[in-house]
Amino acid sequence: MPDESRETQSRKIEHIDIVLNKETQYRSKTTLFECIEVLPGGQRINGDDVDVSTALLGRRIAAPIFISGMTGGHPATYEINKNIAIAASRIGIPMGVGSQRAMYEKQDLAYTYDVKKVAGDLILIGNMGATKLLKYDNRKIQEMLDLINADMLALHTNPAQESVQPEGDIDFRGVYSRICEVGKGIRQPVILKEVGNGISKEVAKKVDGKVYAIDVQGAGGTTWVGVETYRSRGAYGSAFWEWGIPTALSVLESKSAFHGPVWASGGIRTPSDIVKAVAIGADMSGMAKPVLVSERKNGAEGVYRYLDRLIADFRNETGSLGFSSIEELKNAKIRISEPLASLLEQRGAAPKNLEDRKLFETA
Amino acid sequence: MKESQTSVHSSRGEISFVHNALPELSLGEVDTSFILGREKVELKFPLLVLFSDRTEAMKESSARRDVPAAVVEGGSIEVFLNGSGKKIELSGFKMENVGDGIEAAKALRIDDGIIPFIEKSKLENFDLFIKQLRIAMFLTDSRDINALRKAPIYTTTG
Repeated sequence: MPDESRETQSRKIEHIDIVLNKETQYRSKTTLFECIEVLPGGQRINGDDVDVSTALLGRRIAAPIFISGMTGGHPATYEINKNIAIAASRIGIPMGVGSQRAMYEKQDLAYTYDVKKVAGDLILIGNMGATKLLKYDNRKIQEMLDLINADMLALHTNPAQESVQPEGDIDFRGVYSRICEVGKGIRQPVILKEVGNGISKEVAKKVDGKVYAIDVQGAGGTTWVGVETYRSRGAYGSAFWEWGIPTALSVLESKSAFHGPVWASGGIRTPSDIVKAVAIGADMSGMAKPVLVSERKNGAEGVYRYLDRLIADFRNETGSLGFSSIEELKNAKIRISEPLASLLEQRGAAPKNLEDRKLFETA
Repeated sequence: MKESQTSVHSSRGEISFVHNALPELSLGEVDTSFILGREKVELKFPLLVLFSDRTEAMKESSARRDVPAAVVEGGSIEVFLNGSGKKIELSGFKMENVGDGIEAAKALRIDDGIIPFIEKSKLENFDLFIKQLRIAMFLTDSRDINALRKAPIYTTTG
């Protein structure tokens, strides 16, 4: 019988290696943030006078930005999580860890996720695979979150990745019911997240009221189908490389059907992406790969410098549009061009709060 | 048979399925069975493999059960399953040459009068294309071809 824990650990290292060293971005599909233009709200404001802080779980955070969960579960991954945690805590934004499956299989590995020891005030987001909920009961899930003092739980659903992964979990029967049970049954707020293929309005509607938030993690950034295609040497994955809902479309679809917070991630790379995400209603914007690259180059200091620059540029860009706060930016007028405008129309996914602002400017 | 004898449509590249992040089925229970034509010929897989030679088609379908080998002759098509042929009027449906299993899924989605096909030169890809079709059905939460025909899509021009 194969050692499941050893396989899981080895996969963690393989994933990091592939993300850092192979071309794992969508090839032709983009986030569609390029179709969004945020219109100036007034006179330019100096970046130093712009407050981009926001609230999460009743606490003030430096910006509506979080670091998406990436890794954990192998001894070598502790340093990555630790360095990111030190930087995130210093800056004052939340971070996620990668799937905690490895510590379910081998509790000794809990330390690779347990970064609050070095960053006590951090808002930490635990992470479990949605299909694993069929195996873990709520008591076990609570225990795994408490072991690392997690403040939230991201449940990742990844059917596309699982479909092309040699050892993938391809049975989703009962997963939705378990998500509903976990959403009610544990102390931490639950976020349902994709891993790069996006959340549709149908799925957003289905989980409305069942989970605290949605992290769309849409198409346009790293594709985990691509990562698995490298691992499996291309068996099925290459055909599905472009499969997924672009991040900006996914945020708008989710906003049209889900009444809780909607987080944007998947291909968010620039301060401009974050400005646009906020303007279309995203409560938080997440990044992973650029943070990982900074960490691998210069450790915690590298991550800190990267995030510090990112937030300063985000503040400057918000100010340049004449907005002095996140609340003002959330109410900005926006113009949406093709192809996003048509897609929203076809999907009936334009949220009401945007329709009032003359949403479309079709070609 | 020349390709022009069939009603081949252009690429479906502009159509995208809307990804379903929470399917409520397993990949293993996806059912690809398909009823072809007014004659209601039951196929396990909705993907014909087109041959130009009748004997070759018959031989191939005997060797590989479940692979629907077909030959077009005038206004009808003969489909061989397990070595045995059935004639079907072509006027009841259209055939579409597809490049992979996702294209096959798109063809089935956009028009219930279409049956996807591949040329015999792509026979070695048959299993791969069926696997891709099954994954596309799984990722749209489509338990069978009827459900696939209702799966959400969006289209982009150009």
